[in-house]
Amino acid sequence: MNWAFELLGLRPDADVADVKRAYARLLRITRPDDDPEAFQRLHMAYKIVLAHISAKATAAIMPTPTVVTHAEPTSRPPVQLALPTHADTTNVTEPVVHLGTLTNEIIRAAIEAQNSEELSRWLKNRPEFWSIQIKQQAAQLVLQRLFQQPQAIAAHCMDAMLKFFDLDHVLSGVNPVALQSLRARQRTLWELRPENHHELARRAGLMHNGRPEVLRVRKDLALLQHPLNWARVTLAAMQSKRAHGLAALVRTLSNNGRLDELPASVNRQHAMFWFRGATGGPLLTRERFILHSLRAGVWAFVTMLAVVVIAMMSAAPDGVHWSEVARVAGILGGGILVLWLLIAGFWWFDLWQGMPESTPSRWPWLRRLAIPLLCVLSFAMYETGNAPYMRWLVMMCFIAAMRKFRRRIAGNGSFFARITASTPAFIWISVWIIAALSRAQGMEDFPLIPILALATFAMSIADLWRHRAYLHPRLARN
Amino acid sequence: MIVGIDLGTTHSLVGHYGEEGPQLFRNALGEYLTPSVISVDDEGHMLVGAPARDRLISHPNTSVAAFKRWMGTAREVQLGKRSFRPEELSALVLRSLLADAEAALGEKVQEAVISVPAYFSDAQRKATRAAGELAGIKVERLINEPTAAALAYGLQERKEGSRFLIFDLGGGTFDVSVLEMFEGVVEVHASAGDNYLGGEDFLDVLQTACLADLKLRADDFSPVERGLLRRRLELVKRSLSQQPEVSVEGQIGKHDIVWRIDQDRFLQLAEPLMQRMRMPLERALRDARLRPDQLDEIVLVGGASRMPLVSRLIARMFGKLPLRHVNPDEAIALGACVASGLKSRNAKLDEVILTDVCPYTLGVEVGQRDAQGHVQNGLFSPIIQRNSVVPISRESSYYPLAERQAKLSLKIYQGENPMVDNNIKLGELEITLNPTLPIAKNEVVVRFTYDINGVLQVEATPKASGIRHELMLQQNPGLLSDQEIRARLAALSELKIHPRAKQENIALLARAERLFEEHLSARQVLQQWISHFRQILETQDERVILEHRENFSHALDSLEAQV
Repeated sequence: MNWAFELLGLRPDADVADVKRAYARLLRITRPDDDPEAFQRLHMAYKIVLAHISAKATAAIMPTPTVVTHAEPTSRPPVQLALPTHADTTNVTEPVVHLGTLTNEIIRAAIEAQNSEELSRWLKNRPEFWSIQIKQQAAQLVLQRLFQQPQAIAAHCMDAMLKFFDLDHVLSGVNPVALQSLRARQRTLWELRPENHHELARRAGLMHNGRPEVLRVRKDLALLQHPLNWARVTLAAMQSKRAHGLAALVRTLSNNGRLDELPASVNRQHAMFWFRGATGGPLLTRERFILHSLRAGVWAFVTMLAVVVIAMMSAAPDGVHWSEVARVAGILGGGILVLWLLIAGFWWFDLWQGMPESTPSRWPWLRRLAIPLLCVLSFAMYETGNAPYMRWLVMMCFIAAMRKFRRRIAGNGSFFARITASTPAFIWISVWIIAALSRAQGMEDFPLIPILALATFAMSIADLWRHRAYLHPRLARN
Repeated sequence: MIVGIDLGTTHSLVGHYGEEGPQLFRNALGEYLTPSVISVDDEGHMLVGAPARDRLISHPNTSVAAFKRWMGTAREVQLGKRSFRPEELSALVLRSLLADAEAALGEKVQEAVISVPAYFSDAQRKATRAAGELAGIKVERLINEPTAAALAYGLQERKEGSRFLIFDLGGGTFDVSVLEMFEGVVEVHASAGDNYLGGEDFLDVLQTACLADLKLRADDFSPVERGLLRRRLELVKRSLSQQPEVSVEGQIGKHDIVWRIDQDRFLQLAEPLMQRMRMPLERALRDARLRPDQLDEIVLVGGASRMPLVSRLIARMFGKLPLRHVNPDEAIALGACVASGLKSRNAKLDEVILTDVCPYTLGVEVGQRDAQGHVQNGLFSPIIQRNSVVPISRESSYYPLAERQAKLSLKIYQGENPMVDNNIKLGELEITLNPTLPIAKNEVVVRFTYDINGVLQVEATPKASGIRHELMLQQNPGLLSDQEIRARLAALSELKIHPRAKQENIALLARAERLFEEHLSARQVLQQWISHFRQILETQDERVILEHRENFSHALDSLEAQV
């Protein structure tokens, strides 16, 4: 700040008139159109000094607040005055007092308004707001109160209100991200009111024949209000559509996955379970594993039960061979569970090794080389001849490598990225090429497995080359 | 020689800073105000000003007005055989103004200071500059209209240390500026406005109400009749500023128009427009960080501010009555003259220094990662805040969102909304980053430099590499390139324009033709007069023409007064 006083050639006890005189004098030698940089510095110094003087002036009169606060534009009643009666009793003659009541009225009008036009009309017709100062203060108060306690206000009403109070611009002093979040929270509260459930259904995408499924939303909301209960979860998990619907609902209620913004009436733990368990996407979360394990368990149980029932119905005349039935049921049920675990294992492996290169990991080289190593290993075992089932492992490596390659190329828009847009498409292309080749060669025992192993290798190396910048900084320079 | 020009939506004026201060020039018809109207006559001659405005009634298909509202867009209008861009139409008005100035000064005018609404956007300002180039002059500077008005007002009143608000409601634009004058410094604190709000909108409101009351639609009238109706209503609007009640009676086309309106009704009709005026006023005051009672005066300029409802609005919002400028139509032009004097460093003005502000916020699009790792995209991050004093240069640092990000695209926006989707995109800059560096070290410093003429320069430098990326924002879609300007300048020069000496005769004929459309009862007489005057013009005898012109003009005056 000293530099500012020095630049203007002022002593620290200068008053506003001195500052202006000094600024005007210096401005004659540093005109804005002649020397922009010097002018900028001069102007900044001028503003700093003016701000300093006015701050000093306010600090000087602060000790006698009884006189000043009435004239001070920034003095507002404490925001805790939620009850208008309380505000009325504290200071009766102050014009500021009405602000408390006015704020409550604005919020009530915003909650009760049917549409944004009605609210705008209400706001425009209030004579108080013709006064610029009252309008500004009321706007600040309303916003403070809403930040403390969000209300059920529809998004379009909120927008109309922000527009009227001119708070929807970037320099209003309100954090735009916080404002967006407040708006989203209030919209959710508004949609949670029974008469607005159709809006919630529409936004969550729970539609049937182009009409929002209000009843389904009500049922799901009721479920989400209960604490997490395994019986209910198992029941809902069996209906895949319902599980996805619940996840979509939680996503909508939580402003796209911001779970700490969920409304208070929803059980957070319960909502989080469905959100993490049934939202689409590649991640294998704990909840997702639990959900699918539950499903697999139920299917295994049902299969075993079916085996027992069939055995009893088609019972041989000499009674049921219980040991035989138990063996069949055990194999079937266990088979289902083992199959699920295998799928989950592959799922996990596929995700782990296919993560973007920038994700931090403990053994980056193990992740990069997992597929080539596994492929070499299984191919060697297959070729040595004593493990024909290893061909499945080679195929798995091929699929994983391809998925990784495709995932990492995504968004690139190139020809290759487009034709490999989905796994089935890629497999079909491979199958057709292989079939055509084998037909052309007239070969009976086509070397499928070596070709797959080679392709896996090629893709791994191409992927490594594409991400060479991550291997060593020197490789980053192209 | 340098002149000051007010290029308005409805009227334009020209003047210079002479020996006795700012001085306006009269046009060929002896008036200061030249209507901003262009028309093409049957032989392909271009008409500008009063005759063109008269032809707006009689030949609506070959005349055009209020084209200032399209500045900065690529909209073209067909006049006769040729289609014109708004820049070209403005250039024609400028040419006519310059001819007046040259006639008065007796020397060639090479440079001009042109006033534009403070809230004009980048594209609109550039279009105005292009219009100047098309008119064959160098636009030395664009001055904001309220600032010009303040210059004229402040220098006239010589009030030291006062803060005032200029309320400028013109034909098509609305501007508010808060200024302070001290020690010969004119400092603009804040400007705000609405580029599509002006006297024309009040006229639209009147027209809609009138047609609704009479159960008619705009399609029920031919273009000529619609022009007649609009002209009548314009007179109604003007009279309403003085009289409590005004009525229209008469026949337009097949329809009998009997309509009356009082001030209360007009106030009620104009309520939505008044509401639109509130926001810029509040914003300007808030940006200037002033309380309403800290303003010493509120000055009204612009023709439409004559309406009493404007005074009422001010009184309601500020609790005090506004001060009306002596001549609201001329204030801006006088200010532009002062600005031209400042530009040419006129000795008498040496003590006056003007500092202005940039009316818009300029910034870039950013994404932001919240506490839970969700990225919110499309946020607007301001670099130059609106109402900062110009010239200004500001820088801000940005970081890539993701680890190992290889490039960063910097999208530059202008506007006030926190979300970039609602703002205007000005340009884009691609910056390559070093992907091996951690996020914190991949800082990009973005510097915006906004000069006194409103040209924005963007500079982005990744700190690690130090390679500068630069962008000068001069090309906008919908704007003319230098090449196009040259081509169009040549084309415009080929247009036929009546010599200045003939202007009066042409204006008189155009006026007679308008009266012919307006007054059904006097058609026969007018027809005779017009053909008679045409014959006299063909004799090319100056003395006879002068004599007849006088008579003809008086006859028309008395006819107009009579009806």
